[in-house]
Amino acid sequence: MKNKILQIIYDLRTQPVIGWVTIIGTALSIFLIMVVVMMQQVTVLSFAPETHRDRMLYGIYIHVEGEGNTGSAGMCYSLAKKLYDNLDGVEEISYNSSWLDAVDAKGTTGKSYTVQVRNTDEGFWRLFDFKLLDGRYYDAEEVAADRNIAVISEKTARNLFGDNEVIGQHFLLDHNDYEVIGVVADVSMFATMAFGEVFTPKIIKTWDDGSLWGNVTASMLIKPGVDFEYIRNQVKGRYASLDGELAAENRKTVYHESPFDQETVASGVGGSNITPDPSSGRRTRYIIYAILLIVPAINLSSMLHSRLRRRVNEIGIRRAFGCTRKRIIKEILSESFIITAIGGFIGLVAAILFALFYGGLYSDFGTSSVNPSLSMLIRTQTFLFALGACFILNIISAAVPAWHASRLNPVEAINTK
Amino acid sequence: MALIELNGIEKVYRTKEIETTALENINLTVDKGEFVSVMGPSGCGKSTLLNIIGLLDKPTQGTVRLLDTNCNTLGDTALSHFRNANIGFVFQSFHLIPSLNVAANIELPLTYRSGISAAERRRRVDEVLERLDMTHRKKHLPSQLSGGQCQRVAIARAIVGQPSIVLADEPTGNLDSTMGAEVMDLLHDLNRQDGITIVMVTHNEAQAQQTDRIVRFFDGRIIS
Repeated sequence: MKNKILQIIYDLRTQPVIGWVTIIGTALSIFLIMVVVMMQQVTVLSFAPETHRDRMLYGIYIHVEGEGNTGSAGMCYSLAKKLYDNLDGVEEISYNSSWLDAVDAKGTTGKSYTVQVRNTDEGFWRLFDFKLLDGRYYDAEEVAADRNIAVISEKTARNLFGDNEVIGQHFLLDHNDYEVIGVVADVSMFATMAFGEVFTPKIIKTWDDGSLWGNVTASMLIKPGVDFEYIRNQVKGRYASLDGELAAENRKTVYHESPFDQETVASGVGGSNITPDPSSGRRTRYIIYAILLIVPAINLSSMLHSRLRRRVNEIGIRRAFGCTRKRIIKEILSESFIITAIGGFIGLVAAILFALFYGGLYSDFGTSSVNPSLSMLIRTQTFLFALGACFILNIISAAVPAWHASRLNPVEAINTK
Repeated sequence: MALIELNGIEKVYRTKEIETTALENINLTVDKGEFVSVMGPSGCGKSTLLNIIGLLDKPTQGTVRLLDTNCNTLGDTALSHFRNANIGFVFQSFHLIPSLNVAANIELPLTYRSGISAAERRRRVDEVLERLDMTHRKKHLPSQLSGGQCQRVAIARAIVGQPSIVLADEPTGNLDSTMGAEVMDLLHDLNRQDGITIVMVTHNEAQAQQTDRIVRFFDGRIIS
């Protein structure tokens, strides 16, 4: 190992342009890959308040075909309950609005702000791990009573009320008077199913007009060890029951494998009238990774060829003293891997910094007010992925030069000046 | 006891247009502990012979037996292991690895040998360095050494693995007479004290005369 590092330092000294271009090229490649990877990771890996993403399922849409009132869209509150309430294997459930309303809010500071409002039931606060900074959450009675109360984010509290006491204060939300009962820590926009700046208990009346349609998502935490298919099969049964009710109107539901897991939700689902296919998103990502790896790998390969051309004599000497072809390949690959790993580390750090400061660019909400945090970006999986990418990059770029080097005729190699 | 046996060796280099015979019907036996010089004009096949004995090149025809092993039957990996265990090389241009310091250069053959711990490798390197009076240069890079010192390091590298055979291709060719004499003394010491069999290609008649036997080459053939 020590000798390999000495060799790399020597290479960098004697061939600085090639050496540094190799490192920077690797760093750039890993940077691009890791930006894509991390942006994908923040959509599927767990972080507060969505701390159990691996156990979450979401019922979002309903698709009805037949005569009259047909179509596909979000569900109303009572339909969501009909399809998803009291399922076996569900640990916790919440009904909350699928899409946020961007409305004007004005507090004691007198200035108007556009805030993202999510209507939720009381289960929302048990389902997601919000950090309550002050006050309390609303309860079932308050949800049923459709009270004009709100839990607001820390940033919203600051905007609406400055440094003043917030709990018990009133503010205008879309020209209606609301009372603040709680303040929660800001959450990242990447927590797409829990994010909001103002949360109100107005889920029932707002989204239940007697039709099937609305804007309600049933967010479910599934008990550990319970198969998602088990839950889906129960929901499928509920769809069948609903079909019985709709039959009189010559309508029936079209089942699209609902409820969806986190990966499906993160991949954008695709539409309310189609069965989502997260594997196509996965395939696209793999193609992007492959392009991001192969293109620089070809360049890095030619760089390595150039570096090795200067070491032909050394390779001949090593062969003379008993180094096997296999060992030559191994030594070149491992030396190359160290360089790739250095470049990869630089690329990873750059990607983390980029995501930290410009992560908002990737958000569904189109603002950069809450970027991903370090704890969201720096994960074991992130490092493993970066290491894996470096390894693949190294194999693609170094395998051919290493193989060529191992096939050198020792006599010709020794006599190469 | 014959350590090196070459029978009917021929080496022909073929290109599309031309066929060049570098060695023709070479029969040579070198006994254990012998110090043999190979002499002849440039291009007569001396180095080709050394490469064939060193298993770096394969003859077009004929058999190479080293330490009672028919080396013609060995595959590339087996040849590498055989070279590592039994043969040391000393080159005219030293051929030290420029990125490695003296100790690492000397250690090189041992790193390709299985079953030797890092501590044992270091011990053997220190031992050889001390024997060659080069301990004070242990951490130096080849670029920081004189030609004579480089060749001493190259000899140290050749013998650190305790080979039976050392093949030296004009080992004093790039050295002044004083340094050349020192290197020759060193090779003689290795031959006498350690019983290492040495085959040395040289243009220097005086140095050749100091060896046990001179094999003279001309146009790819042994003439005496």
